[in-house]
Amino acid sequence: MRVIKLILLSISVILFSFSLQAQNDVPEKKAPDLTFVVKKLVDGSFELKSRLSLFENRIDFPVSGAKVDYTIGSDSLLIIDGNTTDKNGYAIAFLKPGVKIPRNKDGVITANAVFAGSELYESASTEAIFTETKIVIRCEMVDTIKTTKIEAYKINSDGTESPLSGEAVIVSIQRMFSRLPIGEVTLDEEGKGSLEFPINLPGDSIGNLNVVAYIAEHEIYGNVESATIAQWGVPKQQLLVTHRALWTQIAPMWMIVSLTILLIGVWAHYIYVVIQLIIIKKAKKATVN
Amino acid sequence: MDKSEARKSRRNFLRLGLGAGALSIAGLAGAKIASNNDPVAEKGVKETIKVLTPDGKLVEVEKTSILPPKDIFIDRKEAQKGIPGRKFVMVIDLAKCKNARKCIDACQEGHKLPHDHEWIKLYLLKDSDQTAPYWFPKPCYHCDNPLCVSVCPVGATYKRSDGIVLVDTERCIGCKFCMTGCPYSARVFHWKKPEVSAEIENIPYSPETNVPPKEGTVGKCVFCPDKLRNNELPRCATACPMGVIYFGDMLEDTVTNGTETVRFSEIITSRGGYRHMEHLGTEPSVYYLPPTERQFPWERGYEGIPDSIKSRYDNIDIIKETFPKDSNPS
Amino acid sequence: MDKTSERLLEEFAPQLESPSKKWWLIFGAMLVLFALGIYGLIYQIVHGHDVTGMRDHVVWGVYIVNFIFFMGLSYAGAIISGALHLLKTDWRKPIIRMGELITVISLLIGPCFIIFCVGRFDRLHYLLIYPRIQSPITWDVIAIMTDIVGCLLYLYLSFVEDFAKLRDYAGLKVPAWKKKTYTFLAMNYRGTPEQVKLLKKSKNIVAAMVIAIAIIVYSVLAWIFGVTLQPGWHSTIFGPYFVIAAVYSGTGLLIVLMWLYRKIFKLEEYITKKHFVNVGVMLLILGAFYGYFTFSDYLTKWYGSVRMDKILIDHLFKQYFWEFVVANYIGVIVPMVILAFKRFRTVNLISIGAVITLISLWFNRYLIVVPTLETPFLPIQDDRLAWIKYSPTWVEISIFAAGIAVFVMLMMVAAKFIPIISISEMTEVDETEQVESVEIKPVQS
Repeated sequence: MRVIKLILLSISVILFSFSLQAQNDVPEKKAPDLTFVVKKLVDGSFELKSRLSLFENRIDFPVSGAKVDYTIGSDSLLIIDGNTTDKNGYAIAFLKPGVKIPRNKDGVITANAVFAGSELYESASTEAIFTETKIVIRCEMVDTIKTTKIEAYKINSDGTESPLSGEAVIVSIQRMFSRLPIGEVTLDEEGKGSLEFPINLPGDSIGNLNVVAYIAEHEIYGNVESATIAQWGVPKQQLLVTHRALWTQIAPMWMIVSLTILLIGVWAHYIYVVIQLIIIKKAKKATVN
Repeated sequence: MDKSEARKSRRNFLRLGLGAGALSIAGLAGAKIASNNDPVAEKGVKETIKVLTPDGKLVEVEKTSILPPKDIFIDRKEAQKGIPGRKFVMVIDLAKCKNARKCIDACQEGHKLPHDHEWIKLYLLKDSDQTAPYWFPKPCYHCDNPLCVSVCPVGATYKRSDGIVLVDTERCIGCKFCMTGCPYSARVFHWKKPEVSAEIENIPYSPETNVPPKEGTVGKCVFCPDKLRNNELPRCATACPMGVIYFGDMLEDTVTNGTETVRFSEIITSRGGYRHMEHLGTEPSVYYLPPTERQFPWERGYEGIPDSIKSRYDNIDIIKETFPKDSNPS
Repeated sequence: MDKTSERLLEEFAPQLESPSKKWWLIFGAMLVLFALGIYGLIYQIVHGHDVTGMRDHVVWGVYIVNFIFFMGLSYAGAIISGALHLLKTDWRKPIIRMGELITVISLLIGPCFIIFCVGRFDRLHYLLIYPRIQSPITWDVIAIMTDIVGCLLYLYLSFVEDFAKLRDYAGLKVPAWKKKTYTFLAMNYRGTPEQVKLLKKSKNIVAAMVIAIAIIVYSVLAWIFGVTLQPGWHSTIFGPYFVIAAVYSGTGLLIVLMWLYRKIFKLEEYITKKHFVNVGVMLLILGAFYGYFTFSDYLTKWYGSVRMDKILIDHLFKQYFWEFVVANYIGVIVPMVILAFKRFRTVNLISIGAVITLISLWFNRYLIVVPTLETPFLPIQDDRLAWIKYSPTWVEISIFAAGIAVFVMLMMVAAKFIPIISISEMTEVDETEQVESVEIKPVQS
């Protein structure tokens, strides 16, 4: 009897250890990081940009092909169709201007990015909380001085606007890789400010400059930008194109001429000698001396 | 011009034509170009935009088809034309460099370079007895008076309108005259068959990336024109953790290291920028900012690197003095 | 056919007959060396240029040194035979053919070394399809092609009369195919006054051209180095310096060949001590010029305080001390001493002097190419330490040996095909000489 109990016990222990083993074979899901930034663009639309990545062994790996969904609001939800992350881990969605966005009584908008999780990854969600603002940028001459005027308002829950006083707005020029800051404007109580425009900035071929005013990574107001075109730049310098130099594909004319003269001179003599040889060959058989 | 356009495939035609059209729109509505992101169809609605084709027709197309695909293929003929209206310049801030070598790693990875073939090198220069040593990243200088281009017998290397000097490794015969012609030792050679994976072997070759690499040809820093066409900085500039490498268009008078954007003329004037060995007359496109107000002592650049890399600096006098190898008196 | 011509033919014809056992032995040994070189070449093609000693800084090594060296040897033939021909010196006659043969054979071997040095020699034809004429290498390609054609033409012109004589010589015991070749190559030359005139005029034209081309070609080669900015290469003296060094080395080789053929074919009657002394005096003069140019180059580099020059000269004296001494001291002084003192002017000593010339000139080329590349403007750093100093590997040395072997083999074959002393030259009637008395007087050696 005791022997049978022993056998049953050992069998159950072995089976239990097997099941433990099986549990160890199930891979642990990794916890990715989800960053989420909302930016209000120039045309009034919102860009919702999230990035899914995994930080492992001190290296940041982007996670691609993951579906990220967005919602805005806490009580009434506005659901926006998300997208899958690209090879750098970014997923971007746009909210058209004019869509009614739920906000609380203080005008604060809560946006959520949610990654539902997958076989390999745990789910992740991040919030972005901000108050919608609006920047108006105008470039105009004030007493013969080129001035950029900025006005910024925050949008309240009832849709009215109140001036964004005391905040700093950066004015910059859009360049090829980034934005070149040309100044910072602190807004007065009316939410207005101005900046003297620098005079010798290179623009495009007719002097156009793309002037962008923005607030970035603000605790309360998030990211917002606005832009305008001002023809206040210096027309872009034309590049001098060298056609014939030592380092161009086409040689300087004097080189080509000299080389041709030399070569013709030498090879003409060769051809002459070969002709002489042919004449020698064709000579009539004369008396052998 | 129109004939050759017509001969191209429809897709190419659309891409080029719409690219041109999009640029003209950009002049009118800079906002669309200001954001550098792929517009994504939202809520199933396809966004369309009106563009002009080269023959003046107004066409409505999907917004997504305007921006050039990220991996546009540039063949030899295209690669000889520079990005129009640009003159690229690099500014390297020697005060911040501490031999982190992330620029080298990014370059090796980005261009699929084999192990012993590096396009950007990091020197430890000490100009004279009393002057202090400094770390010196050295890419190709893309000189405006390039001796390497002058001496190439087959035209495998050439300078384009945007200032970039490229090597076409399908034309290169491997005579290495350009390597002796360059006074800055900027060029390197594929001495053996480069070990790359099969999928890289199958990528169509472009002189702008020099991928796949070819045995018996010359390679050098190319200022990443494939990135520049997407308005992205070269890989070394993005990778540097200290923000040492600034890059930009000199005609726009702006350079940026990814975090900080400054006017090129301002930074050169205020920091006393210069070019290395100016007296040689090669007119490099890379400027250096002198190592003043250093943020950390130069020794950290040697201490912080792995031993295998340390051995590469063992022949330098100042290293031998400052870090004597007790176990190996040589 | 006059008496002396017949006598010379009688004497030289046996040289052209079936090769002896000894000949085959030496030829076989050279063939083995050649095969080793081919093996090395195939090894290099399969495994890449990694198997050579060249790396990212010293990108030009023994191959380029050999290229310059062999090209240099060729100018001696061109200039000596060309110049001597135009100056109508009497003692040129027995040795002129050797000079021409050196020219052509080294011109054929020299450019081959470029082919081995180039990374993609499956693309060499690009040099002809896509040439950029601003490049010194393109100038070199054009110049070498012109030179090869010119020298081959000159060689052939000097052969024509001998081919005709061999074709007509009844006592020639050679296989039928060889006789047929002589007939074909003789181009129906019969010695008619008109033919003689045409041939003479052609020879004079080509002789003059060949001298000019030789100088231009070697200067272009020098400018491949001279136009770069590298310390040590960016020297204004390189053009003339290379030409003089080339003629010097070629003269040395000529003396060596004179000595060899004299011994092998027992030509003491024709190549006498007087010839050795005369060519030796040329060697002396050229050596003096060579020493002068070298000294001038290094003096100006050493005296000025330019840092890169200082680094280069330090490097030369530290790493390459013995090579420097051999190339620039021994190579200049020893031949000069031998030829300056009457006591030392024996056939054997002069030949030893010539051998020393050849060796020291090879080292001179090496010292021009390699040390400069080891001391570039930006010091060699952040590189593998093994790449800092260049040393040739077995592949490069085997190909070098194969080059020498090919030279010897071709010389041997040429001597079996045509008399090494030009019969037509020996019996040629110069305008200044009498028609009679062309008899060769044996002179005590």
